[in-house]
Amino acid sequence: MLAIFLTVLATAWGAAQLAPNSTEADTPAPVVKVAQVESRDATTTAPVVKASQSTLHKGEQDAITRVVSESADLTTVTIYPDNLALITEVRKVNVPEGRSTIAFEGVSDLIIPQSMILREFTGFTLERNFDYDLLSKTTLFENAVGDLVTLTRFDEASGKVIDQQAEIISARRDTGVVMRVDGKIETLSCSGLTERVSFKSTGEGLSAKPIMSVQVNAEAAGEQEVVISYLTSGLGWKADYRIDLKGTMEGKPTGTRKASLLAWLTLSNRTAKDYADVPLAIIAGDLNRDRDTRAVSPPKPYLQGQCYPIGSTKRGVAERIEDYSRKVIKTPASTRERFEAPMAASYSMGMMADEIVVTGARKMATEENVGDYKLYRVPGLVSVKPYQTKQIAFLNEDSVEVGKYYVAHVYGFQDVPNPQHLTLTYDLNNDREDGLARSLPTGTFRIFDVRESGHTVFLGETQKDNLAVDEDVELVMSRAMNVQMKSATGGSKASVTHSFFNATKEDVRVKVINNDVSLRGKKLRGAEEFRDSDEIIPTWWIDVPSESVAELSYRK
Amino acid sequence: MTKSTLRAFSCTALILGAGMYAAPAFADELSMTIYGDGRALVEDARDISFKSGTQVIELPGVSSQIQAETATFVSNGVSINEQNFDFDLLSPEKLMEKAVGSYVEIVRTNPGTGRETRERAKVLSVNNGVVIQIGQKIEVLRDDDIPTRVIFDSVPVNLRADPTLSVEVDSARGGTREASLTYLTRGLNWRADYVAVFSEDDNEMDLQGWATLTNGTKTTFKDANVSVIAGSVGNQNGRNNFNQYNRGGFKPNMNPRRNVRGAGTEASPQERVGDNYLYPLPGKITVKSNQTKQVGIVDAQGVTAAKVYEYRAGGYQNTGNPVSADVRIAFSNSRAGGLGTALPQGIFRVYTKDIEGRSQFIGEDRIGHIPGGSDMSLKIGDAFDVKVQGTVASRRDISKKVSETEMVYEVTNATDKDTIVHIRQSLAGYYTETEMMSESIEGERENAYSYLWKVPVKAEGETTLTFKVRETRRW
Repeated sequence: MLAIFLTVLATAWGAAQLAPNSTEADTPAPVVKVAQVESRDATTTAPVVKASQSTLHKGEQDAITRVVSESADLTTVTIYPDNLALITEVRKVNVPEGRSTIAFEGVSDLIIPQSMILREFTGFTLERNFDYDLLSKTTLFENAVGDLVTLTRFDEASGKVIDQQAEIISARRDTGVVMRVDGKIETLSCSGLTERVSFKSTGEGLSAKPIMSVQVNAEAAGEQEVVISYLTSGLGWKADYRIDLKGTMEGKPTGTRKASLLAWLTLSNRTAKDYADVPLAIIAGDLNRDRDTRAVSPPKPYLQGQCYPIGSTKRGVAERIEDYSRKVIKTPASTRERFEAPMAASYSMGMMADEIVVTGARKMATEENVGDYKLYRVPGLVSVKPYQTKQIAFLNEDSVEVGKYYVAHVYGFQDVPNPQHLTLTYDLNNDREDGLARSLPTGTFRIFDVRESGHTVFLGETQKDNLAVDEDVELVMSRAMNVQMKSATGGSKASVTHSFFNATKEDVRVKVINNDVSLRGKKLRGAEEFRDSDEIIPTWWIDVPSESVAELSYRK
Repeated sequence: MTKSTLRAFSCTALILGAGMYAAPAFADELSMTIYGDGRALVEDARDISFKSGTQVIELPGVSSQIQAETATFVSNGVSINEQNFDFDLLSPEKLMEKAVGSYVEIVRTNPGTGRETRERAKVLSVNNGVVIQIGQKIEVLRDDDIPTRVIFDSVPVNLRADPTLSVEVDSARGGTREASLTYLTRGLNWRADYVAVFSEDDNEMDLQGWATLTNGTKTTFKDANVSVIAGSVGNQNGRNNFNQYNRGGFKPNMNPRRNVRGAGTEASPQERVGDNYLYPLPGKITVKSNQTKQVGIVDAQGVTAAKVYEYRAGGYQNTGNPVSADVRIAFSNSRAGGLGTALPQGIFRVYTKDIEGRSQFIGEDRIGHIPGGSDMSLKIGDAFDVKVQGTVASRRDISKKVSETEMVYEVTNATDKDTIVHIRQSLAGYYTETEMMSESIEGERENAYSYLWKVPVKAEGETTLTFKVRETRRW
């Protein structure tokens, strides 16, 4: 391995970017590492420990070839709702005969490691590993325990620079760094001098990128095209529907209006991975999910509590490094979030400045079935950049039918002396015969109309669950301002009269639903001509002309 | 046993020199049995050079989450006087605290000239700040903000770079002998992750099961013989499965997801330990700190499996809207079904092929410990196109204790295949008798509290199930 010097004063990211250029990551041919760890251990421990040489398994531990697969030749992405995606990657690996470790670099940074599958591989899979310690300031130190490093001290005032050899005795992310310098013991970052530590290498098995590795046993050496697939957090989608009402109501008030329907799948990538020119599919439906299927949260990449207390008489009570962490806990929630989740904060800031890409409505996703869900396949290849939001149309219909009515929920035979506002409801015809006949994944429906002046007006929005073809699409909007209802029983417990008041310039339809269970299956007399015979729950439809009152009476 | 452990240990040993402490060897044979409740049993066999008489044996590199009270140290001709677990880890702060009352070297750098002056100082106190005595003068360390290095002569004996167990023993005779240290540790866990590739057309699935090991300790276990235990052992650490007051968390023997439909009666080929199964993992395994590791435990092709739509109605209620039926995968881990093995607790992830032949994820469910031959029905999701709308058609009180309810379930199928939807109606609880008066489709009474109809629905069709029940309350 090349001896490279990395300085800790450089940011961890900077170091991370340096690393792959210098390690085996860029080497295209498989790198053979012959049990370096073992031999080093033996020498380190020789003076004190009677290391037993008779380990039975010595032979098989030696010479496990590490094959690095840097990137995928072909990636396909399937995005699910609720922050989940399935990534399938085709990769070429050149495996030797027998045991070897294949390291798959460049997988999603929010990979759910236990979900990984290796397919199309000729041979046996022995084990697979996911190391969530990435190359960082902390891991550089932790992995250098027992190593010699170069300690450089500057005196800022005098400009004096001293280089010394130091051995790291202890380094933990929660306690700090203790070193041996010239046979004596010193601590890092406690002297007030500017101190820098240079390492000889980045340490065993540390990488700047998340690595999933698989230990395999191949029957024959040679290049294989393998397929890996895994689930990842950080990708998701939602559906949005825009209905633009057109023209006027036909056959008032029972008729429908024509409308255009445009539906978008808005997908977002909150991973750091760039999916360039990938076949993209989106799955709609409610998959059963387990809360443990989520990305691993990495350990904190910085050292905490680095020093002994350095309080002075001037500052009164000393500020110990540890106290910073206590302060964080005491701060209000908003501040705490900033402290505790710097990554999340930067993500969301990134989101604000996001590039939002809208594909032309001509590039429409096509629908098909997979299992019991709907799969929307985006034609051609799509690029989904890190922290990007992208919209793809999946429905663009010019002429759908939208009905409109007002709903009155009543209960039994009760007086309602004060006028109640009814609920404005739109109804999208999704019938198989004469309607849209399309699956409608869960999403938000927004309805727009055009004023006489030609300007667009927003009528409201509502959230709907997954809707199958032929299912009623009732879009419940809001309490109507100008359509009201009163009920009067006249003291009777067996009859009621509902009065409907229409203060609009158009004729309206009212749907009356009596929710009293004891009335179901009973004969209700009066208003039979308004009764909806298809409904088990007693339901009536009544038209109320413009600026008029209509009455509906029935009795047991 | 990390290399860092080892190095740190060698440093410690060097510092200690040839004192009274015996230096145990690197673990010669390390074995771990990992239980699924966040614990593991570690058996650590080392060659140790004993002296004759009383001595302290230091065992560095034990798990950072060792339950020291469970540790036993056994060697031929050795009896234990006491054992201590030291977790005073070497850090700058501890180093200074332990230096109270002793001398350190102070190196000040003159900010103007860069000249260094060295002095011996006695550490008087470490309390928010460090108070030192130089000659007759007492001062606060770095009170003048002048860069000041503190150089310690050595690492105190009790400060260690790694958690260390020390045992005071009486040895009958000197010489190198094998000793074994056994203890329980927290922070190690495992569960199974299953990958099922389901083919609806062929009514079968290919199943792979992986033991997923997670090491949350700060210790790396190198070249260990690892076994995992499927089953639950008693655990008084707030995770007792039989403690009804201990809510929260998944109880693998309690069928919490209701996905076990029939208890199995087939013994599994694995080694039995107590009432559990033991899965030895092949070869020597290194389990690093902060690592997720997976090793295969189940591999079966062509296991008979079928998709089932199921809707469970808790009572006689209006659903208001059509509600999706559960999509379930039914199979048996019996020998006849092609699996023939017990299934340790874990998560089942189900995949299927889309029309382009690509595998797509279609949902997951968590299972408990499943004995061989059990009938399983895993819920993988809600059907997009198969829905059930329940409506109370009538409800009538015949007398004070007798009532009749008529239910209507409209079952819709927007797929292009004829299908069968299982509708399971929960019946009223204790002290109520339910009698089925009439039903539009013949169902079966599964037990006192459950009634099942298998409702056939044509492709792009709808079937209405109606029934009427009479309920008689005992009081």
